Amino acid sequence: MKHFSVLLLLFGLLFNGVAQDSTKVRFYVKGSSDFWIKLDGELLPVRNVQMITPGLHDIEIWSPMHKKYKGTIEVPVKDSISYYQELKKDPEYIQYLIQTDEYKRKVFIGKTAPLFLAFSGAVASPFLHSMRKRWHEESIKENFKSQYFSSNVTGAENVTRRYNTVNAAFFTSLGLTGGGLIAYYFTRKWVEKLDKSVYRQQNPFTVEMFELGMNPVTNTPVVGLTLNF
Amino acid sequence: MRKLFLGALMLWMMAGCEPQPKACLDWGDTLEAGTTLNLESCSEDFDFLTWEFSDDRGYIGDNVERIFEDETSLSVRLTAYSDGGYRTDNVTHEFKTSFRYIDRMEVIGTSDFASFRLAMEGGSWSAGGAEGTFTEEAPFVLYVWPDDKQVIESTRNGGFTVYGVRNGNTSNLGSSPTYNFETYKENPMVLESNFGLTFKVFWRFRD
Repeated sequence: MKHFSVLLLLFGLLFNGVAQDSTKVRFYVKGSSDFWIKLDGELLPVRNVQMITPGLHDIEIWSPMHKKYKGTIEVPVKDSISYYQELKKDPEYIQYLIQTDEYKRKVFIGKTAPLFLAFSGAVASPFLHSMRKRWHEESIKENFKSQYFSSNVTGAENVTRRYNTVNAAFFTSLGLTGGGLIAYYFTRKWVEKLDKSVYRQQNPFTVEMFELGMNPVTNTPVVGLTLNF
Repeated sequence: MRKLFLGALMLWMMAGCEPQPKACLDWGDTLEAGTTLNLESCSEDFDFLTWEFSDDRGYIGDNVERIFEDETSLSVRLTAYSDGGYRTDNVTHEFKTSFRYIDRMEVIGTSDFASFRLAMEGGSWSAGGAEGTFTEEAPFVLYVWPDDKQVIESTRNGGFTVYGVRNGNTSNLGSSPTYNFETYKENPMVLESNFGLTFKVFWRFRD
């Protein structure tokens, strides 16, 4: 009897016949970078590899900016499996994106573009003014030379043409500066009154409130997390 | 933002303010013909100058080097330009060109000569009644002008010699150095003789 027990133990070790009570499930969730899983009503730790007992389970998955997925998972008796699930975007989030785009477009038209044009003109105008002066001086000299002691009329015409080009660019830069500032002056109130869209979503598994909004200073999206008790 | 733009605007306006140039010519009414002249202006606050002569010659520069070959009446229009040439000022100056002519010789000192004779390459001129004591205020004068044949030609080197006549005998009272008339423009040309006499030879332009 004693020998039989030892043989049974060796047999078991040889065929690795130890009883398996959970399967390693690697989750691939197409959503945002973080996701939460609830299995049979129990919230799992936030990680993408879970040890789950084989069998059929109810599963809920949620990721910020996505709709909660609800379904079942059949976990086989295996060392590990992969589970792939694509979450659908939250329609409110899509609406938020559309509103954000619209907001950005209006801010661009009413603030960014006029100020950019004004700034570009203000930066370019001193350089263009310097070039304009130089070419104006050159054109005077070349025209004088062609009148008195040089037969190179084409050279004088070329210099005059260059001067005219730079001159036009200079006044364009002035126009951009003035026009940009005037446009900004008239649109700034309208821009200030624009509604900044905000997207809020409650984590269905926790008390966390996920929020997406626009930074009022930089006009860039910011993410916030609020705990509601 | 508003202050930034106002500051940039003021900076730009300050940079764009060029001083008003002032064109100026302070020559006399006559310039010497037949020699290389370096014509300068008394203009101020300019970046460059243009010179337009009425004989259809134009120049660009702070000064002009040119030769007036003949005696004539001309005018020059000088335009002073600011940096960039957006602001200008101009002045027109009328002048005539003339060669240099020997005008007269003045003698200072005590003379017992009956007459003096001035000799230069191309001619000589005499004047009598030269005895006496002559001062700066009341010199003995030997007139050459209006004989306009005696031109000081800048292209040549030359000088003059003074002779004195006494009792029918002619004495050489001295000779000036050989001048380079291209550069020697002194008026008068002075010769101190060994006879205690000073000879001053004046030149002039044509009226």
